[in-house]
Amino acid sequence: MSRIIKAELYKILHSPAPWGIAAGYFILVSILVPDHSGDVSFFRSSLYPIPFMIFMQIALALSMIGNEFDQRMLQGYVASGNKRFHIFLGKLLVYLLISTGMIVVTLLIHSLYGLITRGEAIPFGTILFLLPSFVGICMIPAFLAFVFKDIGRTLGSGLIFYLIMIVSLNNASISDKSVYLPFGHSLLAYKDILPSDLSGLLLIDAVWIIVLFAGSFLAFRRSDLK
Amino acid sequence: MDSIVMEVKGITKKYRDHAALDNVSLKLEKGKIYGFIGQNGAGKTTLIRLITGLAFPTSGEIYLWGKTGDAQLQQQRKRIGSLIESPALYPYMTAYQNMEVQRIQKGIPDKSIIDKTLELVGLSDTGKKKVRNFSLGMRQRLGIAIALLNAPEFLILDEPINGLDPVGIKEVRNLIKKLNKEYGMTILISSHILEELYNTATDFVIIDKGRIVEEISEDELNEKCKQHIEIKTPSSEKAIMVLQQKLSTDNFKVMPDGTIQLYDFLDDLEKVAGALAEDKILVTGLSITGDSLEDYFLGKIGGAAK
Repeated sequence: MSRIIKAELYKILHSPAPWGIAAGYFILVSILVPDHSGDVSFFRSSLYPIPFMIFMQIALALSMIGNEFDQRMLQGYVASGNKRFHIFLGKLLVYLLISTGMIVVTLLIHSLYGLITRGEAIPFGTILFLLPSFVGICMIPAFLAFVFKDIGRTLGSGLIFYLIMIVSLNNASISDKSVYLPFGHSLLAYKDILPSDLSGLLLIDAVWIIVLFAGSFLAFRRSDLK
Repeated sequence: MDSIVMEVKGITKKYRDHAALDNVSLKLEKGKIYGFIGQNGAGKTTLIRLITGLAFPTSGEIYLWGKTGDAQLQQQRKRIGSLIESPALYPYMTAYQNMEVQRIQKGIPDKSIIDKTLELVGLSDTGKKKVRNFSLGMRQRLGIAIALLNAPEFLILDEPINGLDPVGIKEVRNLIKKLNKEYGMTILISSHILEELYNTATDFVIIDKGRIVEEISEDELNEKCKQHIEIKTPSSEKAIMVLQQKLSTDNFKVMPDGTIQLYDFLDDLEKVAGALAEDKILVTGLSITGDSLEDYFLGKIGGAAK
């Protein structure tokens, strides 16, 4: 599996798409953050756009997974005798590293800016707690890419998911339902209404991650590749 | 067992109700160049995808160097190089970088293999040129280079000369022959350019509508396609004596149904007819026959369609 990870990292270093998406993510979040920076800390302000920015994770999954199916790059890995589980895991880990990384790095940069300009503390504990929910958020586009194995249907289903999510976030009772959704946890943190016992939320994140991980792998494990 | 590189036994591949492959059995022997012939949709690429692990058979077994089962097949596939349809390349990378990705994922420690392989396919001078600026022929060559990167014992090329100009086609043909001759590489090439396959392959596998119609060696094919006079007579023994004694030739073959195939006197049919008539031998058919390669393959495919 280390070979797959190395090959993926080599590709990332030479591919403009992931860097462009990560830069775009940072710029868009930075535009949105000042809207909420009145009496809200920079850290909390930069949590607010996370669910709305999932389309950037969808774009990343299209570039790093869907496109690889479309261009038959993944097929090359299979035909070279690599285990499908190793291919899946290597691909997913590098995707999660980039997609979760761009959320965390953006959060950290804005928190640091809050520390420098307004003396706000950087809540490393909260970032660490939210990390599984970020992974859960990023797993959704990856799941769609492994299920549909192309760009077109992954994009279509990703947009449908995005619309449903946006609609659900506009629902008045979203604060109650947010507990059960990985993208809802950053909303709870933004509103500063996280429950005192976080184990329940972590368990929900873990269930989401396990279900999406298993579903993605099952969709890839014995599937015919074009 | 290593003399059989690949074997499939009773392979069927169904997509819903349509059988892309129907109970196919085939053995490929070490050191041969197999031309895989069939119309579009005949099942060539489906079989190649099953061999390379991109798809799973509905029923039947695949053996690579005598090994079967998912884990064993995965292991054996490391000995295969393949180019299936168009090459999978990263357009924003150079030829070298594309090869480097493949070298890493295939776990090949020696970096110098990249330059050697690029030189082998005539792409050593592409430098920093991105693959998106390559011609179709250059991309095809790079695809072949990637297939050769792990020095495979079994090379599978699906339509490798697509997009190549005549010079490129000749170079690929010479490369395939060289790989086969110098390294004993077993090669399976599918192509719809029959003339090119004939110039390259040592054996032919004809597939139609998901079934193997015929496996034939180059010699057998030449024999079947050779121009000859076909003599049909109920008195074949007498006719043979006439050929030997009056026409002084042994250059003929007697087929199981008694038909005689005479390879001499192709330009003097009357002499043969006269000699047989002199001995009052009843001749029910006398004609010059022999297929062109294209006729032969089309006949086989047409025959299967009936």
